[in-house]
Amino acid sequence: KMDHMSPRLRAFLSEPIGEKDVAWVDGVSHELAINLVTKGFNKAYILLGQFLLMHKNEAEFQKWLICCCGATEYEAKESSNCLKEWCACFL
Amino acid sequence: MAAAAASAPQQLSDEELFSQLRRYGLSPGPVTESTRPVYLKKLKKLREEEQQQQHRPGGRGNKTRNSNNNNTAATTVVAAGPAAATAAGMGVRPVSGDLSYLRTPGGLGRMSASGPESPSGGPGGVSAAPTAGSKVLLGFSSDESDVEASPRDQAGGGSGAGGRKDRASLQFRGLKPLSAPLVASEVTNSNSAERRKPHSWWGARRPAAPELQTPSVKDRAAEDEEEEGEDEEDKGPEAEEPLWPSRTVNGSRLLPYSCRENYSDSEEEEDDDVVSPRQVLKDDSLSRHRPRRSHSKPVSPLSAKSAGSRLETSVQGGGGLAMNDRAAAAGSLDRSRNLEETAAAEQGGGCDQLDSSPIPRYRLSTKKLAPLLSPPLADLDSSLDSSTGSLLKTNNHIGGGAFSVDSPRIFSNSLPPSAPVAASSSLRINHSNHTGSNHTYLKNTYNKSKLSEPEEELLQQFKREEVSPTGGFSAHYLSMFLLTAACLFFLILGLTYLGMRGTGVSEDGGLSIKNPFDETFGELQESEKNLMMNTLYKLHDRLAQLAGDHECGSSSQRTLSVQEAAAYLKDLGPEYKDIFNTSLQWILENGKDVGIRCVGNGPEEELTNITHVQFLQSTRPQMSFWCRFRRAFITVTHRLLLLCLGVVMVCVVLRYMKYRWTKEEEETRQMYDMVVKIIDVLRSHNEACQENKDLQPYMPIPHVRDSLIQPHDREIGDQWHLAIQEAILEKCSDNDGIVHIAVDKNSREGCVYVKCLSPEYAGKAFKALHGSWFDGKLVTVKYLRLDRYHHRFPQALTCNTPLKPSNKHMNSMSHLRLRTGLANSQGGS
Repeated sequence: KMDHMSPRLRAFLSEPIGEKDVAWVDGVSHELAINLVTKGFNKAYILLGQFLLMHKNEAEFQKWLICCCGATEYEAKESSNCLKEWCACFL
Repeated sequence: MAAAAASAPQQLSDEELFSQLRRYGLSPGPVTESTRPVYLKKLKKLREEEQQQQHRPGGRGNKTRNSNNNNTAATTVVAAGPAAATAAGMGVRPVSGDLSYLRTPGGLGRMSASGPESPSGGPGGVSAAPTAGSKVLLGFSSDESDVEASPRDQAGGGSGAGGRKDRASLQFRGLKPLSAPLVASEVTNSNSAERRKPHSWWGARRPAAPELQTPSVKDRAAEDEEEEGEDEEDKGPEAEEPLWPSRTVNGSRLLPYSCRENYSDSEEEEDDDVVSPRQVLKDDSLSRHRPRRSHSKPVSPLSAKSAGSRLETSVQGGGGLAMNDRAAAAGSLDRSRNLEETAAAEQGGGCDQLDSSPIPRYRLSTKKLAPLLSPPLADLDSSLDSSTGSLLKTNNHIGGGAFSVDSPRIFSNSLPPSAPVAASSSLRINHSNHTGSNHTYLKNTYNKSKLSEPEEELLQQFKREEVSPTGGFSAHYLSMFLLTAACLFFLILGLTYLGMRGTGVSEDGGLSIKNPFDETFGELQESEKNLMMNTLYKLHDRLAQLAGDHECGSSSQRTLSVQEAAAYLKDLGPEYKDIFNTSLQWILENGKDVGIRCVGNGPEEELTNITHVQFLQSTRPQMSFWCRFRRAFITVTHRLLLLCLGVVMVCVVLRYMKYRWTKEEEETRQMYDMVVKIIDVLRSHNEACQENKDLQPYMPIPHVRDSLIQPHDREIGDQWHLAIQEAILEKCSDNDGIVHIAVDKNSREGCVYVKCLSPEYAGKAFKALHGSWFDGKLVTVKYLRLDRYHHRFPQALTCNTPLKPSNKHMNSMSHLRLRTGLANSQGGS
């Protein structure tokens, strides 16, 4: 199960989310990280919070990421998948 | 409701937006500044759908779904642009000047520009959008497709319909990413209402039977399918084009059913695909359906097969088969499924040749309504499951419905009834009972038997193939072996029997006596010779008998003393007595074995004189047949036993050697596995390096933690921490700046502290260790302040010499047990 994850995702999942920057989230590119930080999502847990606020609805979260944070489809998908996995592991 | 809902979006507060969304059945998260645009868009979508539902009878084009689809898909932004602009514009305004929006599809960029300008134009824009959308993006609703269809049909523009289908397929791809259970439910209602329209419209055109107004959408969809299918089959290409839009509609409607609850729908999709003619657009639809096929995997083979068989019946000839093949290929089914399809198609074709044209339609319908079941499929699936193994799921699905499989066939010959009404298999069966005539029943059994025959043949084939290669091989050889063994046994027995010669040899003995007799006793007279011969014979017989008795265990005496021999001879006749001595003399002088042996008192005494002879003994005992047989048998058995024993010994030795060999192989394989894993670990940590940000202010020291704790459990005593140290040193073998390593044995997380000479070395060690895998756990590295390190480990203050791994063979790694559950490795030393 762990084999097909990217190393970044594995690293994200293998530790407590702690105070990691939002760039640690799998799928968040440098640009997107800047955008997110500008909007106030400077920590990974804040982005996680947004994900949870949207009731862990991946589609909604992706939409929001694309519309409001300027993510690409791929980035949105990866991020939502990463957060979903995190929730599956830790919540 | 429309009026109430028509309040401009920008006037909604967060709470109102929330409640509006709740009204539509959504359960959204809290509406905040950032999530507001998303939810506004969603609300807009829902509202437009609602309006569209209400306005549908007026023939308004469907804008809602178009805008739904356009939400995140980059491709279909155009139509939704103006519609979504207003919604997004509201959200955009509070955050102005955000360049990131340019990254989004162009529509949003336009939105941000046009947003502030068109709040009032919003509703207008919204109303304008649908009509635009209906023209641009079609195929999702039945309304517009039908509306479009009628002029097109009259015009006979196939390409137009194709184009529509094309766009529809594009749209579906865009729609795919949306998880839209809500949309599905909405669409269901709207579709159900919409379908009535094409029905009425088509009803005027077609001479076919009236549609059946059934409560479930599924059935209606099936109805539409069947009717359209029938149209297509009956009318040929000319009717195909108008069918396409409705087909696409069906497909599109079914698209929201991507939740996969409705197997019949997905089957209908398949029908769409297969039955729609072989035009350019088929690829589109197939590509569209391909993702869905992958979803409805259990169903697809079935439906594909049913579609295939249906097509076979309706479209006589290779076209159908070609369709099947293409459908299968496009759907990326594996070969086995193709096999099944063609087999099913053949069967279907064979069975239905007697059917008249209306019948295939109902076969289609019934087949469609048997979502998981189609007759050839069920049986074939069960038979081929063992071989393919990929359709186990289908088998499970089909399991209960195998019986209802027959009902479609029955339907095929029945009158057009409200046949496909019953969605449940039981109802179908009832129908079959009601409507089945003798002919249908016979046909059914014929079909069923025909089905079962090939199925059973296949089953048998597979069984035979399974059994014969392995069992037949050994069975054949076994029988041959047994036969030869028995023959050999009897042969040996016979030979041994012959070996235990008895009276048969006496002739030889007689012969052998005769010849030397002539040489040595030539001077004797003839009568004396004969007398001596007779004496010898008698003696021989007596002695042989005695010996035989002795051998067989009945008597204990083997030899006959001279006196007894003389007495015996005397009993036989007086003349024998005289000749006795000469006989003895002759026996003594005769060196050959004549059957009688003279034995003296002692074992090795020289028998030169007849006076020394004390005993006579027969060298060829005469035994009864039974005794001989018994002895032969015993001998043979003993010999065979010895042989078997020898063979067994050899086998045992071989097996032992083989065992040892495999064990050694296993060991080396395990070792190689471990080596490969280690290499993987090192490679992965090379890839997974992350820079640590807080590097600058102080002298960093890498701090390894988190998975070096595992060997704790397995290693006993004090050695594990040394192993860990060794492991770290080996991993950083190219780094000669490590001067101190300390394993924290009490740490729960498995912390290891490493001191390096300089920040560069620390960085190197970080790169080498962070993100690497140790014993199945991820290693993370943090930098530590030097003063803290020294506070913790004062002994490290003086360490300045680089550490090196103690030996070169990666022993510490080999001691580790990887998570995959390999047995404890036997690492070196």
